[in-house]
Amino acid sequence: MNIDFILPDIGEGIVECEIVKWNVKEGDVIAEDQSVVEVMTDKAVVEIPAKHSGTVHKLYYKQGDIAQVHSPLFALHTDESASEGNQNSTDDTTTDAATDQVSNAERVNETTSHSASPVNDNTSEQGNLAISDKWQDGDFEPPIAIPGKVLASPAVRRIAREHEIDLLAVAGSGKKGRILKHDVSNVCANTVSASNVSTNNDELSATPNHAGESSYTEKVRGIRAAMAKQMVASVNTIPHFTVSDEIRMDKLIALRQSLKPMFEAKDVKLSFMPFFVKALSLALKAFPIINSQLNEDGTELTYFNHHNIGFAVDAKIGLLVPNIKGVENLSLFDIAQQMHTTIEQAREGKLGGDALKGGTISISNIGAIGGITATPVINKPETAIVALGKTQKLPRFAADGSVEAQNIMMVNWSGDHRIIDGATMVRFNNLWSSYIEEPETMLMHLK
Amino acid sequence: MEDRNHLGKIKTTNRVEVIGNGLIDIPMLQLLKPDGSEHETAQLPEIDQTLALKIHDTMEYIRILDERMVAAQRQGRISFYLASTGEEAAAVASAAALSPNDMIMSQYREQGALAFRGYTTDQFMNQMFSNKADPNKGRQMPIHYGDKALNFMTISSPLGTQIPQASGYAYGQKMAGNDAITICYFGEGAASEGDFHAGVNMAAVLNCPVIFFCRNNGYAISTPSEEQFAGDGIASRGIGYGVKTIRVDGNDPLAVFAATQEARRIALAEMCPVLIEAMTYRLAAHSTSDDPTGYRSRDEEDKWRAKDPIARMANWLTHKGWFDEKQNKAKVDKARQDVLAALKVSETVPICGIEEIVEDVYDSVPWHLQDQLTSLKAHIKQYPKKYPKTSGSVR
Amino acid sequence: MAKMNLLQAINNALITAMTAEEKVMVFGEDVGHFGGVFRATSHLQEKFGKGRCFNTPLTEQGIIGFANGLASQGSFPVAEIQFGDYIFPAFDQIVNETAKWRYRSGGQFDVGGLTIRTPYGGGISGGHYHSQSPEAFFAHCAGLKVVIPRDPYQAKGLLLASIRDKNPVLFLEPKRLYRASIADVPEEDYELPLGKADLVQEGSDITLLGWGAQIEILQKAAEMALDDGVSCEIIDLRSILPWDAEAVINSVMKTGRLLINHEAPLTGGFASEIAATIQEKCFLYLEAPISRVCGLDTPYPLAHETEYMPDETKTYEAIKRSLHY
Repeated sequence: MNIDFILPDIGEGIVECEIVKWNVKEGDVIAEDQSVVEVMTDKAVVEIPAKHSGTVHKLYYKQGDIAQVHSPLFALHTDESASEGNQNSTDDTTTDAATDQVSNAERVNETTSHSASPVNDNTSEQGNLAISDKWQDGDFEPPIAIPGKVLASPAVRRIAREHEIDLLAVAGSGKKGRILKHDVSNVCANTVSASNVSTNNDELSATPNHAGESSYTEKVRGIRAAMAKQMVASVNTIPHFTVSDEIRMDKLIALRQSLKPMFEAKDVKLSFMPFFVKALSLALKAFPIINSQLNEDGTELTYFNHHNIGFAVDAKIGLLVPNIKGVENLSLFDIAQQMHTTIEQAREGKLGGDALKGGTISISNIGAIGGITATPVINKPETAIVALGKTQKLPRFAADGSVEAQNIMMVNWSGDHRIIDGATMVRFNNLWSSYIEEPETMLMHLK
Repeated sequence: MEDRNHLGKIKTTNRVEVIGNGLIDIPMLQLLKPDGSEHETAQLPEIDQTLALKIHDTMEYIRILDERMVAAQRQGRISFYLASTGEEAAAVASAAALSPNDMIMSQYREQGALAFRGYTTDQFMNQMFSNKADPNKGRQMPIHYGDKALNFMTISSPLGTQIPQASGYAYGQKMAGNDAITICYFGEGAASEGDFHAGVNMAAVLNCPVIFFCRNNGYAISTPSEEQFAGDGIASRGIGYGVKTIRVDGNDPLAVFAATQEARRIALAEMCPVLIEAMTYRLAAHSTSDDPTGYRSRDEEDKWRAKDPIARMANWLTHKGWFDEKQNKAKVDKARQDVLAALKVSETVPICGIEEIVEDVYDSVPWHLQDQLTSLKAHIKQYPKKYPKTSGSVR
Repeated sequence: MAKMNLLQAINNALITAMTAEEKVMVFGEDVGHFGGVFRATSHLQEKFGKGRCFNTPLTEQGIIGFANGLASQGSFPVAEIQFGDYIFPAFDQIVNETAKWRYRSGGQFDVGGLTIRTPYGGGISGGHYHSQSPEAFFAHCAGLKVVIPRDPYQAKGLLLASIRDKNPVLFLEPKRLYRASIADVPEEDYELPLGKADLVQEGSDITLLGWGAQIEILQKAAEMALDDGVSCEIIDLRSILPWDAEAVINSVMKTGRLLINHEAPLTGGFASEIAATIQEKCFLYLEAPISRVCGLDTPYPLAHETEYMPDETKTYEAIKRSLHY
């Protein structure tokens, strides 16, 4: 058989040498140790003797050529059982190709949901999409979890800090409760209240065209996942009950009409919401329990003197519930102004994290879109929530028994039945409704 | 506390007296002429036929081994080799004058001493192929031999470091009352290192029974001795340090033997160092990375070929009637065959498993090396084709 | 039990070692009759004889080369380098020979019996050449152990362990504490473990890590921080090589904050190695960047020595920055 003799590195790192003189020619029969060729490196001229006996089969270079180290110099035809005398261990050829990429296969995890999706907040994560598609974050197993402390990388801590999110309140989806980037992003995009879910989400999600398919599946991620989590938590722990009533809107409609021009002069749009919100705050003064919060295990009830009233907004990324802080100290104008600003920000995707935190009660004006009654899900850890139906012109009996047209809006309160009973809820709603039906009564409390 | 007088026996002079170089004559001991015949006034050492033949045969063996391994390097079978061609007597004949308990601390061109002690061809080959039978476990380049049983300290590449180490080792032997000494080999180039000055001076001051054996072979790679020192060789330095000194013809096996014998006797009897400077010539290239045609002439080499120590010894043995030409040829042929056969066996023996990479850094493997080994093993398993020499055996 | 200063404890350790094993020998410049420039070897020559305690000529490379040979012969040399600043001529012998002796010979030979003692560190108006802390150069040297005691009790136990450890050990003694640090030291033979850190003080808000003379500094800074209600955990690393990463990791997982203090210059100082390892192992537990309070990247100054030193005020400020991060 023919064996190639590979030109070795004969001088500690040389890469090539010049063929000075061949001492054999093709066809020559040579003996082991016979001088085959003289080559020149930059350090020395050296003679290379044959490793085996045999017949010279081929010379790969001519005299004067530059030969490359680690490439064949000449071929010898020999009968000797010539192992190239390598010190390889025997199995080196076997395990090879199959195992070469073995870890890569192991490392491609099944794709779990993660919110590197565009639904996120302002921190640009779009760039990371490609990497995190191939390799999932969260592989590292922390040695221990320490109660009272969070497990989070510096990058994650930064995001939390920027959005004023308390990491202790975030549930980590990583190993040993490690908080991953998307856990924090979910909270950023979060605080969604229940009832408006289905319709809005359908409009929001860029529904790809699945016409013609019998069914299709998509991952639940981002704001939808956050909402799902929030709803489950609320419904699973809070025993909901609902109280409904109808409110006559005629007087408020007239009042709003007369105030509108004044507000517009100051560039503030006046909707009905500021009235509802201010009325709510006045009513809460008399029924503080509606503005309280129960702790996680239901052993302590905290009453808040501030009324941070949340209202659902159809924001750029989906449904959000920002709140106006300290409504008890704000005028109608203040409230209208803040709501105006907040809605703008939400629509532009510029809502700060602070606006979404610290709410004490929520209003969902689903009626603005449609519907009469609803069963709103309480925005945990709040205690109550009201869903407003649409205002309809309906026939009602006047005091004198005649039928007249009245503007009627249905309202639906859900309350935490652990701490609010039906009577309290109804009384509270009576008071609130009274402020809406007879708005001048609010003047009594004007400070 | 005693009064000291650091002036000692220094005389005073009243004229500026400049002491020049070479004031002291340090003659070179030679017992045999280059042709192997004895000088008339030579005082030969006591040496029997067995020992004399062993000296000759060992030199011959080393020459054969050197030749084979240089060729093996050219064939790409080993990465590096360093031959002692022309200097065989310096190492072999001096080792012959020692007792087996004496420690040998060498530089790198004294494989003759190791062979004389009884290092086998297989052992030479295993070290050179860095395989798993190598006592160094494949950690060092070829020719960095060491053997505990044969009292031959493992060689390290930095030059001259062994000199103060030999002083220390000998000091320990003295304190242990061993009746053993240390011999320390080095070239004239290495003697320029600070370690030479430090080691020889300390040996003198601390009374260490060590023989400092300098092979002055005329070259340190390409640097000839006139570019290495201006004084009278290395011998003059011994005198400067207060060390008893002998200069000897390094190519005269009997002279080297006699000088070393005497040096050993003095070292033990007086508990002091002795410096031997053996004048010889490096016929070989510095190593397989070197080509002497770049810095010296063929004529110069040929002059020294005429002083070949092996031929000199053979001739002397013949004069003594102790040498059989035919027998010798048979020995030489057999040695060549044995060497080649041993090479072919050694080159197929695999290298150590990867676990060895973290052993012997300390007496036990510390946690951080354990971690590094674990990661490395996992990585090797993942890319077996990249690491063919160990991937087959990694667990 | 006796009250000893650092020097006395070291002297006591040497006497203990030399009494227990006759192959223990002590040598270096001026260590013989004179007892060493710091008196660490006083009375050893008269007790054990000139053969076992002696002066060497003035050559650090010779001292360590000689010590290497002696250790390989099976003796237990304790070689003194007069000042850590002068260890550099011996760098070749230490890095290329001492550290590699066992590995390069496949375990046939070793110099495990070797111990090198040398004073290190500043605070004595010593300037460039009597104040250096060279531990980082040697931390990079596989095969060597590096040990630094903080007080007399630690010094005796660690030195005895170093002499008897089967690996060569570089024992760095904090010279400004030679006389200033006094402690109760047992008079009997005892050893403290190499490669293990020591918890000096427990705490919960931040881990302060150091060695040698700087432990005192960490303690002072911790007291200042305590006035602010900050609870500091203090760890003495004791061994630079191999170092007890596990102890530091466990502490930092608990506190979430780490501060490392050393006199040696900042860049490439041993705090870099610690910081790199801890950020790797405790990435998710860190609440602030790891803080290094070190000497400046300058030769050790004389007139500006006070300003150069990583003192307790600099350490305290760094603690504050870490807590406020």
